[in-house]
Amino acid sequence: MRCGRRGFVFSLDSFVAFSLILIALQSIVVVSSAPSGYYHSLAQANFLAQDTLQVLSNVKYNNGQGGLFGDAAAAGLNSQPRAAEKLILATNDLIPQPYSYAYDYYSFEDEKWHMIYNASKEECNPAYEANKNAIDIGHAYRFCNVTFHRVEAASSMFVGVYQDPIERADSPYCNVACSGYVPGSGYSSNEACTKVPCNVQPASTFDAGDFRLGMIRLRVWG
Amino acid sequence: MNRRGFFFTVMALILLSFIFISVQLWAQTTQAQEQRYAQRFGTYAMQDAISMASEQSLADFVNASMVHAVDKFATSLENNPTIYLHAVYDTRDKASNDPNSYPNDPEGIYYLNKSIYELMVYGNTSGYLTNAQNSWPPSKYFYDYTTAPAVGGSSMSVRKNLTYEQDEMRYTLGYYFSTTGKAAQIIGYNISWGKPKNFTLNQTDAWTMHVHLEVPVNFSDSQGRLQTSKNVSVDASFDIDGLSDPYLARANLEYNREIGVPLSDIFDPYTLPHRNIYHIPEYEERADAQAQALKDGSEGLGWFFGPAVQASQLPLFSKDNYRFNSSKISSYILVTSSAALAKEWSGSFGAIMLVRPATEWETVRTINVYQNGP
Repeated sequence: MRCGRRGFVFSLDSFVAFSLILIALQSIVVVSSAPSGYYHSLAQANFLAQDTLQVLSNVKYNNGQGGLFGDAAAAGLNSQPRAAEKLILATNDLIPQPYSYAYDYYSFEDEKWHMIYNASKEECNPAYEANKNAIDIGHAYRFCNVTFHRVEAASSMFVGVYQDPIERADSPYCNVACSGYVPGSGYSSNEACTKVPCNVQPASTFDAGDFRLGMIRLRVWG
Repeated sequence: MNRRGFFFTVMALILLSFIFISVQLWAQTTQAQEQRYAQRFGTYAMQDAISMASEQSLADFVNASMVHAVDKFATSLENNPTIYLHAVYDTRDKASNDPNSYPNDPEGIYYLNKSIYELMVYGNTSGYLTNAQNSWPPSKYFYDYTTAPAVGGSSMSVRKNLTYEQDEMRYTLGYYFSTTGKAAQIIGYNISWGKPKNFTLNQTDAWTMHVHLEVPVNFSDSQGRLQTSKNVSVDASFDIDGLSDPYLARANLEYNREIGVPLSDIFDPYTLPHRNIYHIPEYEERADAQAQALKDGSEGLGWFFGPAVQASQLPLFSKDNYRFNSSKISSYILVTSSAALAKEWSGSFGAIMLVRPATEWETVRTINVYQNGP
């Protein structure tokens, strides 16, 4: 009888021990298969890129014809990052501390991506450092040498932009009595006329602008 | 003692089970989140693709396309004044004054709407006159181009449609459709556009043109599992400030034909009237444009400079008195509201300012909806 109870106790002990081993093994398997915090960081970087593009795409000026992406497209095609100054300054305020960013422009004419601006490189360019009186892109030194650490995410947007805005024609009639006319700058008074009225068929100088379709891509890393 | 050991063992098992279940729940939650991230990224890509076929995206492009088409049209009319310019002038006899007898001009605005439609969609105007090939003069062209290089010593008349240059084709809707298709394919989706329909073009007020069109679009993913279609309806407006105005040339053409001026004189580019449209805020009201003497001076300004003379001062002037010889009077400006006085003294004064209330002129024109394109 005593031996039987002892056997029961030993069986129970072995069962408990076996359960503990199973739980430990299962825990190891479950924990190891669980995703790491990488996905959270990746999602955050993706949201950051997406939201930044979305917000900046809504910035319009020049009666709706001008936008931050119009200048950026021209900057990318001409390899002149400083032409995208407004976009860069706005983006510097939106991208938080641990991250850096770069813009690219996809042209459907040559079907290539063109680099617009890389904050980690441009903001640290010694040439800009030496010439601080030049156009200030922002001197956001916090982007200097921020290289890929954990994540990089990108978001792109299809855009139609005016690289050159519509230019309303100048009136050929330079009569000061017409409340004053300043060629190319509006209608203020007391300015010299540069055009002769009643010219033979004064042609319109209306310029329909330069509208392009392309894609803007914002890459964020940190 | 043994019972206490048993109790502790059971409690330990319960505690371990609770920890194990918690860990498993956490792991399952994070796994589900991981799957959701992947789905989210896919959804964002789909949103980007759908936005390419959105009303806003198409409206922005239609606006740019319309501005370019109208400017191209107006400039081409301006630079190629000819009687055969069908977009300006219908060569059919209008003596009967019956609109039904003008099948080539159903809108009463000389193919303007069709021309703009075809420029926006195809980049040329080759389609709209195809039914009038048997008329004389031959109608399937936009304008005569008579300054082509001479062949064999004689000038050559080349009839042409109004056609975009290669670089201008990016303003056509066809280019927009193909480009959005390429962009969608980059992120794994397909967009296919149908033919624009219900196209209308109207001038809604003195400064604004408005266009409306609808385009069917199909959207699908690369596997063909997701398919949707809709009609994208677009309205866009733009300010015509600064554009060349073809109306003046057209009205001048009709007027000169009525009074029998030879065609060669009508289309002389050095005498053809020209007008651009300018919206000057200072002249917002018609009274603002009314002729008037300057309030803060006695002299005129601008093209005609000289002392301003009111009609009441006319007795001081004489066309016969040597003290007021014609050269001297011509340095003055006569300000009067009398047309008779203005006519009488028009040969003596340097300028006449005929002061009278400005009048407003308005034309109401009804434009039919243009269904389903040409």
